[in-house]
Amino acid sequence: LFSFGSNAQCQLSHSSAEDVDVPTRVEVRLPSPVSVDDVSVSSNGNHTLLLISGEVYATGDNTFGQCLASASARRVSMFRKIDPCFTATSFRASVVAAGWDFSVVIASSSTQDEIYVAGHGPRGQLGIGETTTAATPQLIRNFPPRGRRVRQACAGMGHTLVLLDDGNVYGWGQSRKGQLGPTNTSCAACWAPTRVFFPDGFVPVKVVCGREFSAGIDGAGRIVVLHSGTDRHGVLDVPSQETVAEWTDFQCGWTTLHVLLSSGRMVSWGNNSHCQHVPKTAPPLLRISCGSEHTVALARDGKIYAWGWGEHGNCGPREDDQVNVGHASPVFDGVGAKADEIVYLGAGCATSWI
Amino acid sequence: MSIYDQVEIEDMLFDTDLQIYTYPCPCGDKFQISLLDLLDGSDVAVCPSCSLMIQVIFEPEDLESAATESVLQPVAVSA
Repeated sequence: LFSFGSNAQCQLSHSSAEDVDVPTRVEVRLPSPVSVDDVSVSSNGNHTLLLISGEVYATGDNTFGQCLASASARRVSMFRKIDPCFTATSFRASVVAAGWDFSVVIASSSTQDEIYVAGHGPRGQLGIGETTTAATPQLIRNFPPRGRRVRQACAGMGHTLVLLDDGNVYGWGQSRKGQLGPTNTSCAACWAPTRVFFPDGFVPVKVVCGREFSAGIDGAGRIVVLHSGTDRHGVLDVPSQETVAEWTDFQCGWTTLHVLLSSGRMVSWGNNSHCQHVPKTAPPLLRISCGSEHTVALARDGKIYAWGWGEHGNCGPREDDQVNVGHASPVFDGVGAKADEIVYLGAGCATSWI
Repeated sequence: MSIYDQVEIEDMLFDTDLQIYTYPCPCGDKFQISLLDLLDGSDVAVCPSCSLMIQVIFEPEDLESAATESVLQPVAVSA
């Protein structure tokens, strides 16, 4: 596992606590994932969660317990397996989602899912009622609804979304800008899971969290962005369904959204103040991962590229004083790895993962 | 450097000890501006770790409540 970018709190799992501008192997020995689907990295704020084969590791700032580590450790300097906290041994972690300084871990058995939260939630980000901190993991009670399974979940800077197997979406946290749908914009915060309404007839198969918006995409490529406000960045300018019908991935950063197509082309919209949009020169892409204001991508040529806001070295070494990378900058010579050995890409707040 | 974004003061957190408003920065640190600076007419919050800055959107009335803001008291929950 390689990481680069912001590291002041060891969120890269590099104990130096210094930023790194080239992909650098993490110091921890980690088990090999069984398959591509077996691993995920969620990096946000100043901490990172890693899920491998049902086991969760965390590194970075633990001031509020967001690394699910002992409360006495204000920082975890490299990936450390979290202490067991699920209600039964039949549960294994299935989803990790890092918010600004909170964490969500979903545990699954053969019949049900449980959602645990830890960290700081001054605007309902913990989802466990009007409680603003959880120094140890807390179970969200009475959710998911009985009989429902979690299909997908994600966290953004200030809110979390959960897509259930019946196509309904729930969320909690910040809601003033429509992050939790139009029925929750008058709340300063939503302190417990609340239904996030998409337009009638729209059934998302994937949802994503922006900073002041949420979005969903359905199987046919129709996209709905939930945002209430002035739309300074144009997040509501979604591409037509025809343009993205053949989509393979849908992701967003804090202010930009992207769709990856089966052709290898990518469509971006929203904020482009720091070259967040896919560069016109980008080669056909296989896989992408979006951080707060940058993107890391694996191309069909086997190379990894990064672009966007790269002030902390998260898009590779800085060129002069440029903090933005407006071209597809190759960042990883693979250290001998071939394209089919690259199983995962991740990106957080100016952090990048391979 | 140009302004990265505009943020409404309602979305910021007020640190009563330090008397500053903060908001997450995409780099992992936090934009910050002191209550005094806002009262003086400044509205640009800077990040200590990078070049980004935000403009704070507020009305003078928003600042009056800062000293008496009824922020929910943190409740530590442990198993």
